[in-house]
Amino acid sequence: MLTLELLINGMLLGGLYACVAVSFSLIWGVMNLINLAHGTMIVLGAYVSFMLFRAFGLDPFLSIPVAAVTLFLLGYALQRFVINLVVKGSVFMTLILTFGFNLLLVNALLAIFTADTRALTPSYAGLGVAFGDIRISYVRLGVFAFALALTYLLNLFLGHTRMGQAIKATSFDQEAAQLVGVRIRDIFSLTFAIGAALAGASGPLLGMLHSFSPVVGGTLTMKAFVVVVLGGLGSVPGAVLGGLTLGVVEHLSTLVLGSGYQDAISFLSLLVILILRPTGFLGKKFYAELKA
Amino acid sequence: MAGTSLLEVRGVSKWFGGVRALDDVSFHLAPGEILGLIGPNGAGKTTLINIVSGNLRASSGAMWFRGQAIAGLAPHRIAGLGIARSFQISKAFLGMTVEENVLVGALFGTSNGRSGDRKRDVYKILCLLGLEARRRDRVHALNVADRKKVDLGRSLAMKPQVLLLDELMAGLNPVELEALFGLLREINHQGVGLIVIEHVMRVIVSLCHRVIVLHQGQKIADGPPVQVMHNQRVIEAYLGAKYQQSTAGRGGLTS
Amino acid sequence: MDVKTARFDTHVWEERRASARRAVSWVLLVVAAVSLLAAPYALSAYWVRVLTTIFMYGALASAINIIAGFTGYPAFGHVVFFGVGAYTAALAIARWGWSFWPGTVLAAAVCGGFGAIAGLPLLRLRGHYFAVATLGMNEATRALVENFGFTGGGTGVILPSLRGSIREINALFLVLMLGVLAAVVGFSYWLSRSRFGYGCRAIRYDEEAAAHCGIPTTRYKVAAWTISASFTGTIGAIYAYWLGYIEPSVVFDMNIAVKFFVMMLLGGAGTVFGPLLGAVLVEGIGILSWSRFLTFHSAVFGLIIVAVIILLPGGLADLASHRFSLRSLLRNVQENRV
Repeated sequence: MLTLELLINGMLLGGLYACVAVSFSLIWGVMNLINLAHGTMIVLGAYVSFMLFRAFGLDPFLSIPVAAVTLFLLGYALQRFVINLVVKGSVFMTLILTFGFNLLLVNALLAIFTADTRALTPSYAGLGVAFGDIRISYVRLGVFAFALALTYLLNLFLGHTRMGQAIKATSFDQEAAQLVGVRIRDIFSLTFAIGAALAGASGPLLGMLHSFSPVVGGTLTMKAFVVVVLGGLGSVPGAVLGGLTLGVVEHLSTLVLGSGYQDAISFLSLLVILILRPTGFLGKKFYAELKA
Repeated sequence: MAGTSLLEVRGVSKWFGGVRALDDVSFHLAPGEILGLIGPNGAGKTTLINIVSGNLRASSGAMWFRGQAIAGLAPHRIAGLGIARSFQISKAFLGMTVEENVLVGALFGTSNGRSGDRKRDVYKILCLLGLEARRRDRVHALNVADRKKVDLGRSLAMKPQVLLLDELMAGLNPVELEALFGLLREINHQGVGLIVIEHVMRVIVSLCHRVIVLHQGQKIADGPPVQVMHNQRVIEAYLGAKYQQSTAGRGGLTS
Repeated sequence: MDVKTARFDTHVWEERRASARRAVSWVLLVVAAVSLLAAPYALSAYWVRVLTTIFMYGALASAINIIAGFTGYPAFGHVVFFGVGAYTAALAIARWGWSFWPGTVLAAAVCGGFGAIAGLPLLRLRGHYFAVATLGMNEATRALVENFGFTGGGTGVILPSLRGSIREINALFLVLMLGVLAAVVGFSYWLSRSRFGYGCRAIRYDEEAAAHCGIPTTRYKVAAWTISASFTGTIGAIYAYWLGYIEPSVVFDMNIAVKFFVMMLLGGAGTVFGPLLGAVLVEGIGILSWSRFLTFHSAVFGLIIVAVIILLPGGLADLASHRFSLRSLLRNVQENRV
């Protein structure tokens, strides 16, 4: 029964991973930009929620919109005034730029909040529903539901609004999109902002599942990368599938290896996937080649 | 035929998923010959060149170069044996100088001379192509025509026995075209066999000893240029009736 | 003598003059190196350590230049070899009783082997995929080292302390780091003029075309990475011995990786002396900002990285070949902006 509980908890965690990965994939797929500060943006969202919780007792689920808006503004400004300057440059440049920004952000968070680990524990944190021997906490279910809802909303936005269509068009063919009147600079700024907002929204969700501190962002970014590669760049269903897979693999691996190796497992899965099937479960073959 | 041809291609087919790009294509290239390869876009010309140069693997069929089987060899092995190629869009090394580009060809081609000789060879090729004044310039500063010359120079420095040229003349003005045309003639006189993909018919007619025509992956004609130009199937598939009328009585390029 | 031969001979004469100029620069370099060796007896311990650190980073930046600068494969997580080298040497010296030189040679060999084995699958990836794969490689290795018992887990490894006065020890490590630096830079110099080097550069600019010129691209890529890994591992080994104590979070730290990456870019990727120049500059800035902005120095460093990347994508070497002006800086920005 331990296995089943791990499986279920793994899937629930996987929902969060999927949400985290989708926003990462959006930015990568549209602008060919790998945002190394992604994880820290999520952590920032968690801190926003933490401040609201400590000051007003605001339930973390309810602070999701606030975190999202904060990160939206930050992301928009960053892309518009900084990243747009180098986005057509080489791989080195964009990676180092986002790494530099990550460094800045982490240090800012350390200065404001110190390195202490925090957690978001609402009053109902210990409660859950029970099926026989298995206990699933309400919080995990809530996080799973919200994560999938956010992912679904993003998918709707991309598929059914004019802005969303413009973004999708840009990801497929920038020149063609420009020819039909899409302004790339604005699209990039908007895309990054949306990606950041989604990351910010994932912050409170993360905070409720895990303790966090300013330095955990890096691992999160890596996991987002693993999920995107697993599921295939450019595919939202792929990100969901990849997220669930990673969550389950991580939890089940504790049966065999104990809890210390979870991170190692994620990274090793990344390498294995990159070597065997870089396009992931559902990615299209030449999409990945174009974006490399 | 297999004994005397420089390059022999037999029964080559290529599938991309469900699409058949080449269908049982066979041809040969005799030593010192210039072979034209023409056909409408999508006929499979570049695919065929890619297969000969090792860029792609044929789905079926065989190839021999100077009697040695080359199907399935990696591109660098085929290059080392003596087959050089150019690409539709110039693939010169943009960050290197003109001189360095040609030097790469000399270093890794079939030549085995001492480094002093190599430098002299590189310089000679630069002069032949009219690039010696710009030899220290980086290629990204050059225009399209000059970049194509750099490509050609790099290929020549490899001392190849066969040169595969993919639309070298595309995008050139008549003066540049004329110059390059003369160059190709000269290279051929020095013993290099050429396979030339072109859409510029004047070049094909005047330069090539023989022409093969591809259409939808199949070879539909193989013979001397004038004969092929008057082939009914070729006219229908590619040239068009108007061309036939307009070229009646006119020759190709001079020189 | 016909015109063509005359022109060629002028060409050869120009080359000979350029070689003479280079020879003079080499002599100056050697003089500088020798005077640096006298440093431990002239400068305070602090400055000697600073100099040693600069040499170390110069060597690291020059090492990654081999695979990233010359060959064009952005090995973002290259610090993994620094860590593996440090750990190999530390374990050999502390646990198995090896002495320094064999320990260091082992470190270089292990890293070379690791690079060759990992290189075969990973070098099939390009651009971003390759960069993040190397990142993953570093993180995976760090996570494994943190968990394995025999590597000491998260608490790290302590090396036996060194005998000798402070001054002697400082001098020793100054010389060792300078030695590795000289070796890497010397190798880079050879690379810039050798057939292998031309092959690597061709791979960087257009791998497909390079293959069609007759360059065995896989063999060359893997060789470049292996050599780069060995050098980096050697530096890691010396570092371990120098500090006397290593732990996973320090020797597999991505901040180190980015630092020497930035140094390479700033100084000029693909040049012989560029990475060393970049190291001097970045370390210099680092020292200045550390002394002025103690709390924020990481943040300042982050800001500087950002500014450099935006304004000088080609690095200082780029600056040297064009005329330095505000306009050329702005032009750089124009080329890469959207």
